[in-house]
Amino acid sequence: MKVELVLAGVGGQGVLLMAEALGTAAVASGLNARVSEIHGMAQRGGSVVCHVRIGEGVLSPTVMDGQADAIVGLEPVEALRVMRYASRKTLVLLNTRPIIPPSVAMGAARYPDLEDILHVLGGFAGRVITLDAVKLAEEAGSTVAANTVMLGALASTNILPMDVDTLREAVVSLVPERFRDVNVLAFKLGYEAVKR
Amino acid sequence: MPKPQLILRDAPGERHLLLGNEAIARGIIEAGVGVLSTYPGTPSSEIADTISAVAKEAGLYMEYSTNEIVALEVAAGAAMSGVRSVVCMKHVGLNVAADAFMTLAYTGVRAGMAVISADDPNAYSSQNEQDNRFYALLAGIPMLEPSNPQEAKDMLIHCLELSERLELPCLLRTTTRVNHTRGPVEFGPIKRPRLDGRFVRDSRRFVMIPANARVRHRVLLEKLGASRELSEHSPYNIVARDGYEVGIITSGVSYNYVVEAVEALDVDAGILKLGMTHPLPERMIGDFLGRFERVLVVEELEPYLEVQVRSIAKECAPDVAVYGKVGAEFLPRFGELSTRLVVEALSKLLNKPPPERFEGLDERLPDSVKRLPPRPPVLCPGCPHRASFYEIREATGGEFVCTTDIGCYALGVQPPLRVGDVLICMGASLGLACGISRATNSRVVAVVGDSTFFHAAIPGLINAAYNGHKVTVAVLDNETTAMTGDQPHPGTGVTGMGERGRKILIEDVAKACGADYVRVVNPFNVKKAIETFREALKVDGVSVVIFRQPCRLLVVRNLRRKGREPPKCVVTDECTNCRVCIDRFACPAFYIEDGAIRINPILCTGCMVCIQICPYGAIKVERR
Repeated sequence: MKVELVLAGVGGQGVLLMAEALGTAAVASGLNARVSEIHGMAQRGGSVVCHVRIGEGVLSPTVMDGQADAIVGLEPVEALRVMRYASRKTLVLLNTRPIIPPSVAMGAARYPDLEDILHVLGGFAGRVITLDAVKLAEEAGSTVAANTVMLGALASTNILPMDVDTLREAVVSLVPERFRDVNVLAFKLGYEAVKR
Repeated sequence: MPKPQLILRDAPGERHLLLGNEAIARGIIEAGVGVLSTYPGTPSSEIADTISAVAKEAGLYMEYSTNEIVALEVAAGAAMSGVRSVVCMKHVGLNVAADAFMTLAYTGVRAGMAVISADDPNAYSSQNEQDNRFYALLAGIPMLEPSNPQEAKDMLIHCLELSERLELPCLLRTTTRVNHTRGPVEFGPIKRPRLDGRFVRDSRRFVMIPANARVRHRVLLEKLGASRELSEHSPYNIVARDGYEVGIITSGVSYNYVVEAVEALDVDAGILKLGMTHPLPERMIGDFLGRFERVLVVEELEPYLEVQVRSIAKECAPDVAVYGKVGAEFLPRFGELSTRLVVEALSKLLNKPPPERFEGLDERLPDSVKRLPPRPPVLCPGCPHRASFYEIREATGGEFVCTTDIGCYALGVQPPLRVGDVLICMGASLGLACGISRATNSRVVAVVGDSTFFHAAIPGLINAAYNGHKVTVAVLDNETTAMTGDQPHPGTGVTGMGERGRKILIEDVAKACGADYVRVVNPFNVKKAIETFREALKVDGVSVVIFRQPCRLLVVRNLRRKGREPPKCVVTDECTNCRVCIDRFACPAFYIEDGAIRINPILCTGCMVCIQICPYGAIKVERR
């Protein structure tokens, strides 16, 4: 069985850490995995996309168009930008909090309404689940942990072939020690938000 | 487990998720490499950064050299002295190192030496997408191409073994999707590095005067013959899959796309996977070609394999039809490949419908995403480069041609700063400025970063002074190599081993290079910086202004480590909405809310430059 994920967000949101946590948990569970990242120029406040593929026979570092089982959008517009990977089998897990790009902040471009974004996402994907990950992260103790909220949410969808504890431990192993409690709580809040 | 401890873990048989570059670093540790040198460049940087963090503990020597040719020479010197060495760089770095690389093939080495070239198909973080496999062909140096992190580690070790056997440096050619892919990597045993080398004189071998060079060229050709035999039997050149419908020859990361495309299309394809791609196993390829009527060559960028395969086909299998990029294009000669592109190529060649209706997707996509606000990379909030560009712009009034260079500051070409009219490669800002100044008979501004200054700008600066070109140099000194991940350089006075080294001052170098006017300014002092740059533009000769202010990311990180936050700026009621801060400075911390200009306190890093440029004194530091 193969599980294919595309994670999209903005530089600084921790997309790379999410991807590494997923890959680490997969390998810790004895599974094969590929995690693909783009570093460098792409990181300076720009769009960030990571591909995570887990399972026997997975070789390619990238997801083929239309083949994502889940797309995790840490930011609404960034989720929309990766709809190339979606099809009717795809679940979109979306953090509804926008990060306004400078062009919009300056009044040179328009940020689409969330309703319109959800409508378009629904046109490509099979299912869309939304949550305010920033709010839950705040509850957990830091807005920076929104990425971990999203991982918790993803863990509750039964898409992942690893168990919840392994993924949570992978997250904990990758964050600095002083942020561990915040991340454990953020993971839990994300998990419960979608489970309900 | 923190990465440094993981990389040094003496636990053969364990499997861990590693980034391709971390896997190569692990290979360096397993192979007992004594000397690692580099000049950082995406997508190669994490190889040396990983080693820098563990070098002392592992007992090996690593350095960030001033540029790639120096790095290559350092590694060559070590390998000539019997110590295993590795040098790593991004693809364009090998252009810089090419002079040494070409003749090093003649002298060869005594201990194993691997040259790692990290190519960047699709130019994700590069100025071009050149295919460095041709360097192996050009120099006559054996080459290996890994397809995933596990192979990257294993092939690095194999490269060193081959190198020792042939007494030739070997090239490990990776691409972004290998360097920056994480995958499970099985650990092997670790060898203790040796740093007790001895240089044994052999002038006929190591002194490349013409008489010796002619002889050594013949020696190289003999070694190439021996490497060809090794390639025929290489464990990395294998028929990975049997089939009869079509033959596919591939290498590197493309292999992954091929296997998955063959499965997706359910094709009975034979796959020849080439890991050692110079010299090619000609007999093996000839045999493989002979089994098929049609063979597709799948590789990224140039038809490097295809051209050679076609020539082998002519000799060994004249009836086979070879497809790829030459003539009818089945695959693009630009960008990176993907499973989809290989599916489409196979589907066109075999007249088989693809499993996905990609066209439908292509038609629906543009409509949905075309109106999305773009999010290109930008200079960070509080970046000293933004202040410097604002000041250069104010001082020049946009009147001067500005050449620019490689680094974060290349982002200064974007509006509204728009400083940078031409950019080609490391250090070119200086040489280009000399030529443009002479041809247009006007003063030209050359913008260059601190690390780039040491890397390649010094000969250009000397040239400007010596030949009397009218050039004003703006050195944007943020006291680090920011774009590639904050590596140290000679101006920082810190070495790759984490020790204090000699700190080389750019102003001293500029004076010694013959500049007529050298000044250091703080770009966060706007008025003074503009005045100084105006003065520099009036100098008859070569003037250099160093804009010195550390990378804001580092400043903020250091503050937060001490539990402190930078000050925050706020817009007050005095604001007249004149938009100077937005239209001319464009710090991403600014935004407009209900028609009013605001500063996002989460993004503001307190550089206070906006306070100085606001004509109405309407921005203040927030009191708390």
